Amino acid sequence: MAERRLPVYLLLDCSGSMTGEPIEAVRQGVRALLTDLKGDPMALETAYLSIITFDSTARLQPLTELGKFKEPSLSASGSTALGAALKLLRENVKSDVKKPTETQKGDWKPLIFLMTDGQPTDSWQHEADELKNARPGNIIACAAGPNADSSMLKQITEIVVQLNDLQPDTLKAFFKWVTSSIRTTSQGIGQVSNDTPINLPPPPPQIQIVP
Amino acid sequence: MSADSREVKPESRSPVVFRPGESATYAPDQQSSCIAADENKAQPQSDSSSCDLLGAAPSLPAEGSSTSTNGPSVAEETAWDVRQEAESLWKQLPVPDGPDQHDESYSQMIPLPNRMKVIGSSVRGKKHKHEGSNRDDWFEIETIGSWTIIAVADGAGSKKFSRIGAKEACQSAVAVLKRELAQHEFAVGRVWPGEAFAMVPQIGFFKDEELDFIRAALWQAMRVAWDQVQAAAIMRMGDPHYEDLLGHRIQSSDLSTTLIIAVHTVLEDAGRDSHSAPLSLVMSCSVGDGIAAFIDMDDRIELLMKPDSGAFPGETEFLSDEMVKTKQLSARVHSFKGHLKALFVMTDGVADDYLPYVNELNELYRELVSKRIVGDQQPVPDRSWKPIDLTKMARQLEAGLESGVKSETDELLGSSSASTAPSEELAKDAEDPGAILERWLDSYYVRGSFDDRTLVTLYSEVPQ
Repeated sequence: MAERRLPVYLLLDCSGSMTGEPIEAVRQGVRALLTDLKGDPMALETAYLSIITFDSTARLQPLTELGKFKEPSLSASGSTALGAALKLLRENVKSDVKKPTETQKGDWKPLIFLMTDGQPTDSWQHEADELKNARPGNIIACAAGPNADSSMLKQITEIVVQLNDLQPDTLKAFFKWVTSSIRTTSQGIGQVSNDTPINLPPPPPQIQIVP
Repeated sequence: MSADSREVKPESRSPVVFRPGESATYAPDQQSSCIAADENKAQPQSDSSSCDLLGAAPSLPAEGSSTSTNGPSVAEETAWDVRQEAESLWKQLPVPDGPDQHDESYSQMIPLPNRMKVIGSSVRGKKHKHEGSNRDDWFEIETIGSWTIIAVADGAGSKKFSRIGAKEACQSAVAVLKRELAQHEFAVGRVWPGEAFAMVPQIGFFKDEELDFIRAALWQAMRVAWDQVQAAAIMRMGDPHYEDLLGHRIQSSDLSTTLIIAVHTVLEDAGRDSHSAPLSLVMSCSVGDGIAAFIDMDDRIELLMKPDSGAFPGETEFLSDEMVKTKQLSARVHSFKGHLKALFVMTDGVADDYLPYVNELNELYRELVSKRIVGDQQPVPDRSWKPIDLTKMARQLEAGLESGVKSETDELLGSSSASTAPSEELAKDAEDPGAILERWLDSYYVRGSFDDRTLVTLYSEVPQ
């Protein structure tokens, strides 16, 4: 009787342009996300979190059950190694996530959120293609602020949203929506037909869906 | 695109569907002191309550986290009992008012010839109790002649009115099978070599007429079930209640459901082939997930369906025009003959907790035996009781202290929580393993298992 986990990956841009208020808002957002999720029994029983941060390099806080997950310490500096982050994601999803077999149910379809405020500075295209081929789960990408490039993100996933700015209120609203999406997914764990699109709560006014 | 996607611009081809009527709430920023906090110092959880901008206040032990200047901190190992923590958070909201209300739970038990019994139970899962929504599972059991007919269905979790589909599908399928199988009994004295079950290649027909009749009845039952699901939607199309809740006119996809149907009969009485148990035949047909399985007297498990699934769990098929086509149904009928110990038909709310099926369904059987739900023992309640001092009781009766006798009896019997005397409980449980099954389904714990739970079992009471 293996437990069935909902793996959730957050990829957070911690490049130099996030210094000051933006990175503090991200910290607050992650903190609020953890607190809120830990109050939901379905998320507590199923959600496993991993946070990948990227600036000049990328690093990963390994997939850990929600109840044991510790808020990461975040700081902003350096460039934007998005490619490295995507590679970390793909490799870890491959080793973390249990696929259904004859003998095990497998993990629920992973939920992946990616937030970046600017252009990647490493060679990311190849990694984006590899990631798309790997089909790791539902990827929601967020182009945060005026310097972010939503068309670039469209090469990674079809689900792209845009934040107009990096104001604390805007980032807070984004993390609130991420939290709500994770909760909805952990609650909606049950059947969908094979071609059903992902069910997400409606985004707040600060978030625009990029068509 | 689905009609649900009102929030998405019409010209977009976004694969995302935004649920109408649900939105994250956005509390105004109140605690500016949080923003100004030293960004190099990790904040223990207890501080976060003062910055609790969300209003949620879970009771968590204070946790420290190590700081590092390079990258995220490594999680400290703390003892964590997720079950305990989640337990305090689960809400128990009643079944909501409104049309198509389904009972919290129900069970059924029918004794059968040949020392067999069929019992079934369906209970609302923790998730629906937490959200205050209806049970979406359904089951029906009927008998006619020598046949036992079972239907189990699970309404799609993402569809608001799928419970209607589940109920309609079960009830109509069983009605068809009852009608078709009435008077359809196998010729007396028939023998059943393996060749009797030969099939016409490709099209899923049995060569044997008597068997193919049953196959045809199963197909018809599936088709009528889908017809009834559609009819149930059409009947409700004019009702504003549904449109208000859905944001669009109700359609059959809003009633999406899985369906498993199975029929059982005894082919040869016990002793015919020097086996102590009779020879049973089970034939089944299904669309969707859950599982149907036959455990024989050698504990061998024969799966009676191949559950529909996608690349990830939770993805399955539902009754639809496509799924009841000949092309589909011809591959969805399974039959098995053997010396039945137990037949299980269940929704994924239970099936998922018993993977892999081979071995784990044996485990389920043992569990049910130990709880006195199936098997050859009479059920007894597992509470301790003390012998009654009849002499003492008689003396008090003589003294006319009737009230004294009652309280004395209660004390002696040690019943503190039961409102009925234990002997009544005993009698009740002895008659109704369905009720014990219901209580067990409602209470067993598996992490992450909070779906509705439905299990029907037809079992032999012959001692192993």
